[in-house]
Amino acid sequence: MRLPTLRPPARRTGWAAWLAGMALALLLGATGHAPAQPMATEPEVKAAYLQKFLAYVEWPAATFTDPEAPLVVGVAGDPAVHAALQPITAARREHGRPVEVRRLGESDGVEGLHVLFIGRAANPARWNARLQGRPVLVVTDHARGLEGGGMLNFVPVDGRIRFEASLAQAQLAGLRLGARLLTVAERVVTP
Amino acid sequence: MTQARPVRRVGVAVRALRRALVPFALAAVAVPAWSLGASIAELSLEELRDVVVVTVSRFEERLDHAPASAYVITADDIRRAGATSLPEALRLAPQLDVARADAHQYAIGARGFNNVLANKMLVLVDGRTVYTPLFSGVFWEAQDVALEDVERIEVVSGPTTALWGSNAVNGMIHVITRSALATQGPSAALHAGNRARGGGVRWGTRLGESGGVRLYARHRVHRASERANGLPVRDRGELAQGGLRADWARTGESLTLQGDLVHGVVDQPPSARHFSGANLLARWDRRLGPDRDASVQASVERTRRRHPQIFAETLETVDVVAQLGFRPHAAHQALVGAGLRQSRDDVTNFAPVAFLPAARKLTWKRLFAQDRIALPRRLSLTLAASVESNPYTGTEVLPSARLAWQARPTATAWASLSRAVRAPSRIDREFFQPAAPPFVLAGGPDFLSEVSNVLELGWRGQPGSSLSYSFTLFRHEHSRLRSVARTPAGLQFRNDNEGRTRGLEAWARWRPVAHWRLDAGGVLLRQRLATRAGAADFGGLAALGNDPRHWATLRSSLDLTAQAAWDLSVRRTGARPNPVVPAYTAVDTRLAWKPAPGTEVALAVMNLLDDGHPEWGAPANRVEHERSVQLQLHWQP
Repeated sequence: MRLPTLRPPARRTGWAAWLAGMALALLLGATGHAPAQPMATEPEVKAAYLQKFLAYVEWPAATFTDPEAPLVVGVAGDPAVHAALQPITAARREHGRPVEVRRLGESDGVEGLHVLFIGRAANPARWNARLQGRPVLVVTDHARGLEGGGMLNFVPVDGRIRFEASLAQAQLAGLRLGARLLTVAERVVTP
Repeated sequence: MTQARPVRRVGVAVRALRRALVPFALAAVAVPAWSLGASIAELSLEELRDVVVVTVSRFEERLDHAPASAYVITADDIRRAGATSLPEALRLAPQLDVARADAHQYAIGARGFNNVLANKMLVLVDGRTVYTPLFSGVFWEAQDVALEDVERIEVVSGPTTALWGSNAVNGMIHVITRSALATQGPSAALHAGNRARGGGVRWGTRLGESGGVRLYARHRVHRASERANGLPVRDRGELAQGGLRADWARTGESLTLQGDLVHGVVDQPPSARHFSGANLLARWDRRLGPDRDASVQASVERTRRRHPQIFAETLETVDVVAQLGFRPHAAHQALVGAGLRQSRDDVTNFAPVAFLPAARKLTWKRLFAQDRIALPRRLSLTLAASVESNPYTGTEVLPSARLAWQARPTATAWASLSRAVRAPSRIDREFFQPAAPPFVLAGGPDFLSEVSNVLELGWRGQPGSSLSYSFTLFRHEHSRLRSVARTPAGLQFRNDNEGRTRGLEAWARWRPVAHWRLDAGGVLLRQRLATRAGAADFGGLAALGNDPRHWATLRSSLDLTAQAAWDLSVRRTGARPNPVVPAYTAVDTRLAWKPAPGTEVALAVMNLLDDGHPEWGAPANRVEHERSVQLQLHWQP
């Protein structure tokens, strides 16, 4: 019986590797002109806002007993915002505290939360009822969110996302909204 | 006795990578430095008001709502089931048939043809394919992923060849680990029990403003298993794995770098096998515009394997894939890409079996494209195809069409038609037994690709936030399945078998009350295979797979208190025909307690109610899996 002979391998490695390399170079070259206008997806923008809001809100003194206790942000009804928020808050501190992000399901409770984001897929009336006047910053993402109990509400404006604020709701919960928040807000509801 | 000396020279694959690096270097000059530009999180309140909102054009819909037979195993599922190895974690996917052959070897597949050398599943870890071109299957013992840092495992049953190439005939398993940005700080896990013990540590830290890195190391030892008569089997093993993952992310762009080192020793007759490997992967994603994004991934890998007096192998692989997502029209969401994979496989042959030629260079090239077209009446049509050239049969075309109908906001019906192909691997074409003539088995010089035409019908829904379900009916028509033919040169592999596989996959998840969740899932499988008229087969049919007619699992996850949780699962697998493995029902349970935040202690028992059962192998020398009790500790401050 004849053993199968060892054929020398054909030398065709070069062009394919070059093709891959050149395609990458073209891709990178095409993107060399970085757009001047910053762009991001909706969940990324909302997550960036949520993280920014933390710095401009004051909770009543009695809320925090332990200086190392984290600021707990609950996200209900928007898994994309939850996913976008985690890396942003991972190693940042607000008010000297670490920030913890929790994803809340329909049947989860509100104990231990300092911030609650009620996303599109969640029911704001149900969540606000659970809060019962606790000192929790409520951020909503619904039309008429402020009227339904929210303190900050996202509003789409012209392909961008802005927010409106309700001083009335914040006061009811014992929270103080910083002046900068109120200046940047599209609309402020005063008590 | 012939013994080829292993050839030591730089792999052709590595040379190809060097050539590709020159254009990379040119591009590096053109691209603005990474440190310029701000992450969106750095913008001020005023600046956030001006950020333009864009949608992502690549298919980021949640996989468990996709119109396909797809199941996502979450990190929580893995932890609650007490899985300490990747194959055990895969038992959580209802459409997978997972059979443990011994302490380290598993037969894992979907839709039939299951085998320890199962060749119809594509398995990826973070985008890197982990199958061996020796037999197009996976050495599960060399994939010791750190389960604590796995974000999710996506399991799709049915062909995904139109996007992923010819190895994905029956399904795809994709293990996705968490970004380094999400795994900061230290973490340690330990498990010890009557059958196995092991542990791992991880440490993560930030890298500059927008980056992070983690390093991990793990080690595992398995005791030797036993046969039904109590005699030990030689399968004691020790595995060690370590590596790193680094991620940089800012608005619209991300870069990932990953690398692992693996080393293992597993006992077997006549003497222990050794394997080791090293891999490095880089992946870059970038959003190019409101409806356009691109990604490029390159990986290199080198593995060595030595089964004393049976065979030894050194495998070097380079793989590059690039893809572009764009929206040519409002109703079209498109994706195009290209991939190149080159391997150099160097086998050292011994007397019993041989791969001839011993050293071999293998190249796969593929082009793929997909278009999702939004049609009126809540229909969407997805057309996809890949054109792939493989080392043995030249070019294959792998098309698929999928129609989805959003019947209700909470329910989707879908149907798909695909042509899937399993290209030959080295064992199909170049495997000889013994190593020198006269051969009993003389390779498969005429072996062609196996073809499956697949029809699937599915229905999945989520009627409420507490209930979700998925049903899939499938029918695979197989032709050119591997057979063994008698020729003057000896027995050879040919493609004279054919047949049909039909069945139903179903699963549901129900949360009747807040603290209790139930998962149920299973598969009914009916396979009919035969040799085509006019041809003869000598044992090839039996070697194609050994599948039960059904398997099912029921799992309960109960939160007893805020600190304690109890999971219980009952799994049943039907009998396997050839070799006969009796049907079995196994009960597994895990009780976990969180004494302090960041610490979890658990007691996990597998095969709670039976003294032992086999899952795979012929009665004479197969392993019986006994009750296993394990203490598990996880610490992550």
